[in-house]
Amino acid sequence: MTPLTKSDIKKIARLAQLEIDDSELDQKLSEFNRILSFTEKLASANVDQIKPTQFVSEETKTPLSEDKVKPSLDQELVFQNAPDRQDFFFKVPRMIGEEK
Amino acid sequence: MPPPKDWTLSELRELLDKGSISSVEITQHYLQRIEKYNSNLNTFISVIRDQALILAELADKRIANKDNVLPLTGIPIALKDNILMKDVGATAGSKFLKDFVSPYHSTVAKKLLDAGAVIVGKTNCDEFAMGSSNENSAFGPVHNPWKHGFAPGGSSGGSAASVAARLVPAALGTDTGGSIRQPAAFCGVVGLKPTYGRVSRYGIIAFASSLDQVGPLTRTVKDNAMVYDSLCGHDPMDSTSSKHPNEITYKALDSVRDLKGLKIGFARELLTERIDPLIRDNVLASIEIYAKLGAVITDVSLPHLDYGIACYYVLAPAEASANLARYDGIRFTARSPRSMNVEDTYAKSRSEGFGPEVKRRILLGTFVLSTGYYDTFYLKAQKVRSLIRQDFMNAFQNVDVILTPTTPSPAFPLGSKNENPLDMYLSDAFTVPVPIAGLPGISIPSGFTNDSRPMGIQLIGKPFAEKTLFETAYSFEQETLFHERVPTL
Repeated sequence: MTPLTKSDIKKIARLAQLEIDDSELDQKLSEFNRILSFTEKLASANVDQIKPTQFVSEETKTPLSEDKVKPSLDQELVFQNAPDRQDFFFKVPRMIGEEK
Repeated sequence: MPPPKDWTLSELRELLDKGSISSVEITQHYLQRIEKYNSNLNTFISVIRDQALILAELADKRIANKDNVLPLTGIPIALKDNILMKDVGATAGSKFLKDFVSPYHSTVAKKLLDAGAVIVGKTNCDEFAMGSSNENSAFGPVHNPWKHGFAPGGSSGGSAASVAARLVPAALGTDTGGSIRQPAAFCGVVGLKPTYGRVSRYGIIAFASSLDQVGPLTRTVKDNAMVYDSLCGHDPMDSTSSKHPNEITYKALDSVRDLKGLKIGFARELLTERIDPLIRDNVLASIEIYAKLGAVITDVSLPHLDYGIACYYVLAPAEASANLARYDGIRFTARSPRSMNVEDTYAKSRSEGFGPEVKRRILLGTFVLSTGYYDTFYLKAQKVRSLIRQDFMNAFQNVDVILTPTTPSPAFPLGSKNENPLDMYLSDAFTVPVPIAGLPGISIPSGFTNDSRPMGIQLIGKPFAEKTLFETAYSFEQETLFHERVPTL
């Protein structure tokens, strides 16, 4: 695989909702390419006819819970960690109709 | 009260049952040790002194009334700080969760409290359990009790170091790629990663959900079994938790099992030139001890383990990038004051909240799941995961237990691997294949270097064969007595 470029890293960061400072871009890029080239080792494994494993479990199907109303967390507890709230709403900066 | 001693959990149990000491006295003893040594070792992020003493009083009443006294009733224990306990902080080693207060109990915390255990505090760890040296904690690194300035291992470094330093008789950790077993080896304690599904993950701050598992760190094998027995069991709150029947394992350790006929697999191909010669000599000496104890040492081949690190560093970051998407600066994390709109709230809060290693893994995970790379990296790694598991299952047709070193080297100096993340990742070479295959693994002390750094061996078992692991580990422990050595603080 061709090594990733600065613009690739910026694109991945945008997808991951992370900001990368231009001053650290070179270092991030070289670390990233070094780790990726190590994981390329996987390419040499022969996986013909091999099924992927998502996770290891003795269950053969997804266990479903009963469709029954049960008590859930108290609202006050749910909101206690919110950085900003109004009553029982998470308060966020304006989303629509904003000037850029 | 007898003079402060080097108690194991099992010894404390006997003293409590005989009534020769109270849980309050024991708890005060450990709280004093934490107060005295934590500033130097940095193993605790928070200590809940008042709650602990209340829990100890309740335990003493329970013991006095002979009311459902269980192995952990009255025993002080610490939780890694990614394990939720209601109304207590849980930072997961991240400044992003600096002020987070758990709204509910994790299942494991609830089980410990129901058993009458005395939770004394939350231990330091690498941020979101990502790291092998505890240096990725936003609250500063933990020091190895055996050698100041050396890494305690990670990510459950605070738990392992607290137990080694006798600040608690037992602690819980979590293990995704080795985060219980690697610090156990570095700190000279016993650390178990149970079979995937054995212990509920409900209320554990998730890192990589197909790999994460909670387990105990203790001074001795029997102590470990006592904590493990109290944790395992099906939990309807965790859909991956197993319905496999529970068993009491610690009672099997009242006597040493004769290992005659037990088949221990050893893969010589794992001892490559990348292994520190001290570790190589130590694992070969450990094999000799098992042979002397009557075990049959059998060569096994695990050819795909060489792909373990590459496989892990695709799968775990991929899962982490999804799990950590929930930290958005809106619901339960700090929000950047620079946030002017919603996108800013996400990106700026996350950029300020997460540390460098966590960001690195989120980026890596986002990349391997992105269009055009999914098949090459993620799907391929999932297929290699099948091969690694198959290697183990093939080997287990002929052997009962597989023995490896726990780590490729003893504890390294803090700061020595920070420049190069990949070097740090390679220190998990022997531990990552075990969660990849969903198997149980235990690290036990197997000796010391000349400068008193502990070394550990790892025993890997068949799915749900924790009891066999404990028995095999116990015979070695009782023969070698490495667990009796105490670090000078």
